Amino acid sequence: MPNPIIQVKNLSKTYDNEGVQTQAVCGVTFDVKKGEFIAIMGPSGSGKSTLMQILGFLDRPTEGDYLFDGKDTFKFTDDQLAKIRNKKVGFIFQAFNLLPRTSVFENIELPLLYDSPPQFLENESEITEGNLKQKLLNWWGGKKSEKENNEKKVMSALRSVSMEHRSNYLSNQLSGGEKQRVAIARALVNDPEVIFADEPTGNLDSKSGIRVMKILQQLNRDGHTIILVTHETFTAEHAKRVLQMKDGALVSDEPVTNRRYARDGELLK
Amino acid sequence: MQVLDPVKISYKNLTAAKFRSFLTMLGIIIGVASVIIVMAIGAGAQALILNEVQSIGSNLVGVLPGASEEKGPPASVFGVVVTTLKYDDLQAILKKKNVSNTVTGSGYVTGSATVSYKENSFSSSFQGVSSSLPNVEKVILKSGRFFSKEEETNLSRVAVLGYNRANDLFPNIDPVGKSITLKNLNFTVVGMMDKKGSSSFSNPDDLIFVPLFTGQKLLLGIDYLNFIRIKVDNEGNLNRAVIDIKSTIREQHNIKDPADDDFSVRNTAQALSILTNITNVLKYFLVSIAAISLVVGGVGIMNIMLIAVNQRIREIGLRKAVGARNIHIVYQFLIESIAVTLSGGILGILIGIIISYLAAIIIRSLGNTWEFIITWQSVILATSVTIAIGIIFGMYPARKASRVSPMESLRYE
Repeated sequence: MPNPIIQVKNLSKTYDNEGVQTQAVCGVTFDVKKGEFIAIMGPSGSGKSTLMQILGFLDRPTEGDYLFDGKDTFKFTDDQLAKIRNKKVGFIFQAFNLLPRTSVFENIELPLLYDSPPQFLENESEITEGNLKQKLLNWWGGKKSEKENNEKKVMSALRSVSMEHRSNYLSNQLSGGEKQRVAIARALVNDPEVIFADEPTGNLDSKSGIRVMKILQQLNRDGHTIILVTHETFTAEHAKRVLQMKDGALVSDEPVTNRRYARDGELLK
Repeated sequence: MQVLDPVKISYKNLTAAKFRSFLTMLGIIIGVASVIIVMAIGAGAQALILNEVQSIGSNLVGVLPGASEEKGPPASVFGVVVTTLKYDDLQAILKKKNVSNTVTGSGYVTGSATVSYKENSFSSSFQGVSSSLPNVEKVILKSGRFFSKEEETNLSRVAVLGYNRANDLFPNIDPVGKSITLKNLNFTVVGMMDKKGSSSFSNPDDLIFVPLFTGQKLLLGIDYLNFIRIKVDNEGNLNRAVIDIKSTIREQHNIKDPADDDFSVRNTAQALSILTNITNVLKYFLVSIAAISLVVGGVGIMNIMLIAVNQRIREIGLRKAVGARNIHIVYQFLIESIAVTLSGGILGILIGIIISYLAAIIIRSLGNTWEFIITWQSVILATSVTIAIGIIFGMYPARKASRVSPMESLRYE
């Protein structure tokens, strides 16, 4: 049995909106094992998006334990969380959230730019007159190889969503389905362990939607853990396991018995 | 992350909203340009004034009536009339046994009166001076001669016209030998001076020179002098001459304690340093006024950056969602604000230099000698001030941007 990548115990989130307390998530407990494909379902306002944002380190829980890959994340600093978001998880949003007027390539490259602190903050041996030339050469060489490396990673991510031919397009020149595939490529580029998808088909026509689901299933077969938030049963049936939420609490946790497999040409109902 | 990445990101963001970036920059452009212009014109005016003083001569000692602080301006500058300086004082100073280093000297009285020749009539300043004036100051005659010692002592009604006055009264004719009236008295013109150029205080080209006693007794009816100028044999003896002159006048005026001095003695070096002080104060006063517009520009930058933070809150959220740390966001916004101020600063410097140069051309075409001066200090000052403004006014919006929670900003509509 593979180890759980996510362990959640009594997780709660309370919003304090100008004195009015709203409990979005209350006392949720469950595990996610490596390689699972989970759909979190529930009507709007059920807390499913909030839960996903906490699981994806976009937000902190008010109470409870959250172990990611065996590590307690409660006391992680902002920078540690940023590093996890960068290396361990990837996000796909309903509204795509691509940078406007920026090429497909640069959009996908974005996480790679943030995968180290700004260079001059890193500890390096002191620059002396003797090693200056070598240092510059190293820096230049490092820059070059980093650039080549990034290019390989971006192109491979583009291939897995069949968007290589759009690499130089600007993000606003794409259709909705293409935008979401670029967003998936961006989530993939750092080879994360878990991919979070928040209503990824919500803004898409059914044909593009099924294509997105097909890619997600393929990524799951390749070994990525996938956590999908949706309110559509049909979409949720593409996962292996469904968590039902209502009023911030988990009401059911069942495996999908009759799993759907997305095929091209099929329509997402 | 490479050092240049935030620069690239900022460049993209700024060029994406060109008009907004330009408007933001405009405040800085105007501020920097006005600092550069004010500094250039201030330096030019300072050079003009100091050159005028130096052109009078560097081995001159001036004696002014009325006590004054060593470093400050004399009482006469404020329009106070002090009548204690007499012709006898000049005579005493010119005696070798009193002041061994004197060469020559002149007393001065000044006033203004109506001057006319035929139907030409207007009010003009005149100066009563000793016949030795050409040996004290630089006097170049265009025609005729300067008046003689006899004419001075005889109260002769002779006059030497400044270049402009000669042209005003006698357009296109040689004035020498003509008769003019000054304060209803007839004067014979014996000479005309060549163009000397304006000085900031009085323009010798606009003056009518008459013999000292003629000016004192006939035109003004006074028995005192407005000031005395003494020429010293050597610049190195200036200080000694000043001490000698002081003790001579004290003896003349029966003053025992130097604190009771009713006169002041200055050499041109002192005058230069006083003028430098005064013009510096004026220059920096103007620069500080111009600098206010830089601060206003900085506030504008902060305002636009704060708006940008709100407009791009989803972008910030996304960047954080894919792993940007707070420091990455701070850098991005800080570099953006420095880029705006710095490019505005460079444009402002260029525009400032161009306008100062045009101003110099215009001032020269009006007949003044004007130096076009851009000091490297002003350029460095303007550049570093703009960078500082970028950092100071960019820091708050940048920190605000970095503190945005990724979840809230992604939800932000």
